[in-house]
Amino acid sequence: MKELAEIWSELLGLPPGEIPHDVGFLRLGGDSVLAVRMSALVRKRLGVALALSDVRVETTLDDLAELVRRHTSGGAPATRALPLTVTPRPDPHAEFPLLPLQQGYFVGQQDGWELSYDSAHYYLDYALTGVDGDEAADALADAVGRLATHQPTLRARVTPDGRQHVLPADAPGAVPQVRVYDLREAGPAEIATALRDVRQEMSTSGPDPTRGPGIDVRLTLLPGDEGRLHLGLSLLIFDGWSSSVLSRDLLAFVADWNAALPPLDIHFGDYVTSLADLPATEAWQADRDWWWSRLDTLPGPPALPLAADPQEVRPVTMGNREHRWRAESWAALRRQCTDRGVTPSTAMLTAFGVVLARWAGHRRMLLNSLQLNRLPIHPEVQRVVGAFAATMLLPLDLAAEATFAELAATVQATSGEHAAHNLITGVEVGREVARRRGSWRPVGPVVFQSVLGVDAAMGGGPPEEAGPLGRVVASDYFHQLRTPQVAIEVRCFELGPEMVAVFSLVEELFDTDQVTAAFAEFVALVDALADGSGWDRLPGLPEETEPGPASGLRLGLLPEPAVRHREGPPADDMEQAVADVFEELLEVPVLDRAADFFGLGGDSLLAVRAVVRLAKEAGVSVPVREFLSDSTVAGVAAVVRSRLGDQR
Amino acid sequence: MSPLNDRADGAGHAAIAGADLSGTAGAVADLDRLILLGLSAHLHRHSRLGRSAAGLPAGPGQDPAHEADTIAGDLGAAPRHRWIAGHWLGALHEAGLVGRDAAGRFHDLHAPRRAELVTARTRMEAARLALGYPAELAELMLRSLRLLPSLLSDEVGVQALLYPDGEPATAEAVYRGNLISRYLNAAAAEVIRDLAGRSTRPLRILELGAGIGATTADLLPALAGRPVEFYLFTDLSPFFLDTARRRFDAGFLRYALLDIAHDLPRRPDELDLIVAATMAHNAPHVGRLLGRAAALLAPGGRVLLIETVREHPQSLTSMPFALSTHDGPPRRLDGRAGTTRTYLSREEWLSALEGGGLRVEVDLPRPADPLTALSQRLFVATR
Repeated sequence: MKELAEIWSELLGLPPGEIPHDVGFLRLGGDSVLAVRMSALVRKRLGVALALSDVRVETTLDDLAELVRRHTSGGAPATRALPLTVTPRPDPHAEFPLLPLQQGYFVGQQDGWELSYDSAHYYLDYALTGVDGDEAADALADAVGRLATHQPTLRARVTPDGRQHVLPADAPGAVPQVRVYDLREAGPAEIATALRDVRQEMSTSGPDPTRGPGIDVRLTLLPGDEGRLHLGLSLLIFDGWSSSVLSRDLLAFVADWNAALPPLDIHFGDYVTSLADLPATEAWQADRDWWWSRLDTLPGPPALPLAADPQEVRPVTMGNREHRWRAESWAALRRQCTDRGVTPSTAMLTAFGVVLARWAGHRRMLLNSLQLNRLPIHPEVQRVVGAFAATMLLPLDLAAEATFAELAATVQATSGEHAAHNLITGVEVGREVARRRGSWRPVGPVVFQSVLGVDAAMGGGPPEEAGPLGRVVASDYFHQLRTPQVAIEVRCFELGPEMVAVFSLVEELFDTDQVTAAFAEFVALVDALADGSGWDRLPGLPEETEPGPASGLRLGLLPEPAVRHREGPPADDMEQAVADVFEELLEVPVLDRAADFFGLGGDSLLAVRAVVRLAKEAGVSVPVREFLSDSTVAGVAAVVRSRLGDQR
Repeated sequence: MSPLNDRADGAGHAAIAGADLSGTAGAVADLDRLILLGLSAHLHRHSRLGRSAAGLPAGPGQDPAHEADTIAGDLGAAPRHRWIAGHWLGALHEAGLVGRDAAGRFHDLHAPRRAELVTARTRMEAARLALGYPAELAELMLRSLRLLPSLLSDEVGVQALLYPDGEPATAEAVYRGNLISRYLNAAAAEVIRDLAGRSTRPLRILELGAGIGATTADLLPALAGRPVEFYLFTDLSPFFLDTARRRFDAGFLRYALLDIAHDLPRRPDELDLIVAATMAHNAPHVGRLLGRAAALLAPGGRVLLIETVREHPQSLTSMPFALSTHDGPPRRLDGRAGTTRTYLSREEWLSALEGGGLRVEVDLPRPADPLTALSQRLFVATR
């Protein structure tokens, strides 16, 4: 209300305190031109886009406040006063740094980690009915073009040394091209093959923003006015919330040749650039201190029995187990959760924890949670497509003799407490853990991700009507995810009125029967929560809090080869060259051949840059993975030497 | 034509020296095409012309040809805007986008394909650049199409189009800074200079319907250092007088509210120059307005008109809404009576000026000039 009164004060030339709340704008001296200006100021300052017909000369300040209230959906994140402002950068095409999770994906794509893929991406296709086959391709191509103007992230690229930028809209290759498969005259066998091939291709090779657009859009036209829309999204560039915003925006442009979306004054690059000031703030330093004080007592990941060592595995796609809860069950679950004072996400997280505890044989474990993490430093942040998401390490300590309801309440409190310190993300915490332990095994290979409630926060589900693309049949979909450094993850999301949970995992790592059993337990647990019976039961949990001595391969308890090198100055030209590269990147003197890159202050992104540098200097490409496995001067020099030897 | 005509033409072209005029007619056609196709798309989607054009069988007793007023109902037009549907359909018929039967009913509306609309939008953008219009013009045209439902139902006024966000940049884009406005205003300034040069007494000038002062801004410098008794800047709306007061700074400027229907001064022989830029067509009877204006002029006094002589489709989604009176289409009592025509043709203007007892000295641009494609002209006539 205060901001609205200030806006009126500026337009009417009256002191804000003297403006009555129940008198129309016209009577206070306003006119229709000023009324249009009022709308614009509300949009700029409060991020609320009112319809033109909402704001008339008869509108009172009370009316306006009510309008703004109605337009602001309930999902406003808890505000902590952060002394940061986002302003548009003078050069929208200038390079800017990657956010921590983007860095993680970037390094992951360099085959830097175990459980890496050459592209971290998400693939989704869904069915369309009532398609106008003659118009659909043109409409979709035009929509992508306009979307690429409205959301610059569609034109984003990542450089080889791990920075990002946006191409100008008229640069060659800037606007992603849509591929169309016209199967309107094809028979069922041809259609089945074609669909399988597209899915195979788009699941296993995703868009790579280091080489081209971060999004791959394709359309299949089928007989009977049907079709499928295929979307490949690089996780390096688009987070989960963005994929929803993108769908909405894209379908709006497809539906109407002249659709206009409220323009965005800020973009992802502006947001990231403004975060550069974050480490100087007290809030950030407080969060860092909070996390750093806990690191040495963090539990390890659930010690799940493994069928293979992750370092030996080169996965191509992740396997899925999926379950859908019908509208009535999902509604029942929501009611139960409300009655118990926990969010549905928390209930799902607790159920996951219980299943993991039983499977791993211990009750204290570290999970990795994917958070939306859009800091509320500008009213438009929720509408911008980009890679804002961050991980959060979440330690669970499930009490032995507690009911599920009690466990859930504790998990909710722990989760809330950790999320309140979100200025330091899981990737940064993970790096520090790795540095302290001297290990580069993934710190949080078991991931939980929930976007339950996101649609409500966005003000409704995605549009169903899409002009020449007809109607979206959201329940007829196929998806595939490849997230690096993840052994197993659960994702929970809504599909219209239903709820879906998916286990995505590296199949090669686990015994299939164990996975099936774990998933079945998970589903059964959630069913019991929905029907009310599960809350007051004691879920049978193992006695041990920590994993016992390892028998066979277990996640988080894998052996690390100890590497020791004789200390001393660099022994030859090769080692000196490596030391010089280290010095340049780390800006510290590097005098000892046994000095470790990370011990000297490096991180995985700098490691990638080091690899790029060495490739230039020595003419040989050291895989990031090998750099990480022995990142001392001597170790890296040895790898370079052996690769050069291979070349000859 | 007179030497003054030549000099004014020279000054006009000097103001746009360097512009490539070879594509002018094509660019104008591209601006028009966007609105025509946009209107077709809108009518296709929101009126029964869409159903009949889709080849769907006519229902029992349903004729596939429709009266304009029926279409107005389909579009949800407020009573005072219902005439606009017929105005649009007439223009679409002229452009070959809809059929009209002997009874004046419309049928077989063209259904624009997405690719057509996208091309039209792209060409419109190139065209507005070629014609010197800023981005605000493109936005005005596209916004007007988006807002058609609200404009037709009277939920939103035409100010929302011309003053989006309450800023004047869009209105300025339409009336200043573009090729034709620069040409015409520079030519007009030359005429003023000529008048000031030969005048034996301080000038008495009246501008009618001065609006945002687009033309005024270019005429005032031509009067710098000349004896001017007064320049009376008038308009129907106090908003424009206020804006002008803040913007212009010349000792001889005076301001007054003036409605040409009621408030024209009655004392004859008292003015040296009457300026009416893109407003004279608002009079219900142009001939009578010019006659009354002529009567106010001292001998040798001039009327200076900037006028549009053909309604281009590009203004179909904005102009008509500005013209609707509180109960329907604007009342015209001259040659436009019985039609929905907004403007007079060049011949009609020349005839009306001469009918008012005036001798036409300036009639620009010249017939062979590519700028004629923009259908805006400068007329100067002397008593």
